[in-house]
Amino acid sequence: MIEKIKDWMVWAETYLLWGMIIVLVGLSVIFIWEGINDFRTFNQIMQDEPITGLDESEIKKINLSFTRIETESGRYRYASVRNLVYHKSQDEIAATLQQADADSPIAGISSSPSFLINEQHTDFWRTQFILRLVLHYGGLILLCIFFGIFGYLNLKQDNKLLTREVEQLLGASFFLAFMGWIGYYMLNRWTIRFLNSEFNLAESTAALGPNEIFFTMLGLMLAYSLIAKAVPVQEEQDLTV
Amino acid sequence: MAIIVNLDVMLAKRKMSLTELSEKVDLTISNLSILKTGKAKAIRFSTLEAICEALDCQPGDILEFREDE
Repeated sequence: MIEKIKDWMVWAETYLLWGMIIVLVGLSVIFIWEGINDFRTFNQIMQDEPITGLDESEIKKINLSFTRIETESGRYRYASVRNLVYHKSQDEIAATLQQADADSPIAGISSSPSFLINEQHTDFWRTQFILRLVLHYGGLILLCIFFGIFGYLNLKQDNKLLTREVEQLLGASFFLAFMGWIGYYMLNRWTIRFLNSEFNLAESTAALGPNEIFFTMLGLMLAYSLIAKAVPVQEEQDLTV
Repeated sequence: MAIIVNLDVMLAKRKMSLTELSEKVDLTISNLSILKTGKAKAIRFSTLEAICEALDCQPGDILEFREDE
């Protein structure tokens, strides 16, 4: 009876692993498809040809939104930046509003200001978009791959969690999350420098990477340090007969 | 290692194979190999008791202390 239960558990674990791998592959395909879709939408926004059946197309990803509006007076494109941290004081806002014309766009008052995209700025926004897209979806796909490897290792090593391989995998995940955080930090800083020079935004350049990645990084570091301490204990335990 | 495991000696004396012992003491062959080759870091009293019972010997017949040179 016990043997049968053990056999059944081995089968269940194998199917669970295959199920997990299928889900992770499915998720990776969805992320790739979403990335390609976002890239197509971005190209639609940037192209000069009219968009069939649409007078407005918007993409909201990675702290940047791109919008194209077709009106009778012309075609406008603008980029919205959602993660600016600097807020102007009430006095500054009042002064800006007093000086502004009714027709001119006012940049930098709210936390998600929008900036009209002209010919000179197109290359900058395109590069920003592509790099952020690669970082965003690339990170998600890598996460799927790491979960897959983790599941495989876990099954291969009789569901043992505290092994050298898992420790190395967590170490590699931490390194990747750290690189992602640095990547976002650099991109945010670049955006803010660009906005400051082109739109006189006076935004602080002490931009940080996204909090989600920062806390993921902290969690991974904590898990890594715990497993690094526990692995030698587990190894000793394994050599106790 | 100051503690020497003489399991192979006792197995030879009793003319018993490792597989036979593993069946009698309900331990895997790989775990018994770890013990036999001196790679084990520790041994449980329950394991020692089972081995002694299976080989009809005393703990001192299996374990021996030898000073490091």
